[in-house]
Amino acid sequence: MTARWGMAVDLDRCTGCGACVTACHAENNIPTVGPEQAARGRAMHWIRVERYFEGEFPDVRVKFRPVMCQQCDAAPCEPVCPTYASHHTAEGLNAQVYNRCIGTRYCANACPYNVRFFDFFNPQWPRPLEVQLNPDVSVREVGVMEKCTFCVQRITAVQIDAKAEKRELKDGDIKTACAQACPAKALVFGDLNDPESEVSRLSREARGAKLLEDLGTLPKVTYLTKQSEA
Amino acid sequence: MSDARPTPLPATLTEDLMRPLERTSWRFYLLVLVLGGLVVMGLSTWFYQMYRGFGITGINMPIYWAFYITNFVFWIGISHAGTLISAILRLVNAGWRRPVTRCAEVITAFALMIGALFPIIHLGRPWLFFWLVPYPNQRMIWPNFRSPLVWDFFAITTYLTGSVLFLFLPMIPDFALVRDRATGLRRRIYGVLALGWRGTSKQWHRLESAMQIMAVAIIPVAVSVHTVVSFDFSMAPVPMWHSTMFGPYFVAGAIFSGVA
Repeated sequence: MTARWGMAVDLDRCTGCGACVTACHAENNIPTVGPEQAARGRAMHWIRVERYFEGEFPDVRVKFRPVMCQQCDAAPCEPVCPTYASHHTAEGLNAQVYNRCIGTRYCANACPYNVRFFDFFNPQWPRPLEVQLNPDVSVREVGVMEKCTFCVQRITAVQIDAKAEKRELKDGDIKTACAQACPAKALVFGDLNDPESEVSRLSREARGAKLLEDLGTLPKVTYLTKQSEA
Repeated sequence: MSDARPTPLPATLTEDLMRPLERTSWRFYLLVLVLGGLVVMGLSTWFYQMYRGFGITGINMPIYWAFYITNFVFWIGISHAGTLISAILRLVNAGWRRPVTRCAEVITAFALMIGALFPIIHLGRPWLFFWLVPYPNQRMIWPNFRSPLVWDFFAITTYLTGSVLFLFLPMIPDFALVRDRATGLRRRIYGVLALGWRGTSKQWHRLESAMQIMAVAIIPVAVSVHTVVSFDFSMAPVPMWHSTMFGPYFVAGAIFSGVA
């Protein structure tokens, strides 16, 4: 059976350390836009850690929520793309074909999660970051949209290896960069079509919830609410 | 004009009408220079935008559309002028429309062309704009027909074709008038444009029926074009955009800006 990739995010475990953001930048050749552009709100983080503060100082509680592309089953970004640059793969991923993108930016307008990023300039990295680019991931030129791919390069690499070695994929064989980097194991990636996988088990939990569920986008990322609030 | 009776015009009137076609004053060249300068300025800023990267426009996330698309909607709204004034008033036989008809129809055709430029200017990679167009290609890659931007392409080309026809039809007798007075290359060009117009009553009758048909046909096209342009916004689940209100709202807005 084809896989249906999904993720579970345990908000009880998330410490807001930001390791997932760094790992994602390194894995996916995401340009660092520089302080000037970042100040204009053009920073590109395929995964970001949202912070919510509650209460007045000194009695403050802070909550973290890592947000990446929700890989919706009914994604609003897909039907609006005039060139099929944004499209649905057989494994349920919201893929972005950079070569096909002409930069209408319609998908980013349509996305309710604001997880699609436009290359306003050609990518650049402060030295020496430009020498650590991942050869498995294309570098995007100016004028195209980019977004979280669930590390599709890792998924394909492991699938090809498994096929060559004639073995079945096990749960946990594939890890996205963010899930691998997460020290608290708050991010769990896996196949939702496998009922025994850890991500399926977590997604079925009672405290599981989707982001902006009432929009009907059917996200494949499940957030596990904090125990104290569940 | 199609409503002129097929009697020959008084000589002085024809003389007055033809003067701008036969003589060019220095004022015209000055105007061309000034407006051409504006066009060159626009083109160079556009090339600068492509050279440096789209970021110099100041457009930002999360709403990635700004003044380019606003301009697009504005010009498409302006293009309503010709259809409304010309077609609707032609249908209700309002005589006072005659002096403004040609002007309004020209505005429609050219405002549409200007409007259609803006979605291309606003592209991240404008040199690939033809991927929005369904053209036959070896790899059988087609545009996504679910995308409102592709609907836009069809709506605007339909409207442009219709309004150019609507502009051209009543101009045929005028082309013939110029043809009869001009000489040389000009005579040949206007001869082609006049499509063999002789001014017979049969020709006048056919022209009148063609204009009636076009006037009826172009009104629903105009209404649908403005509705489709509004679909660009209302099809996206964005707060304030995602609304059934947008179709009628854009049509009504276009009528207002068109008349203005």
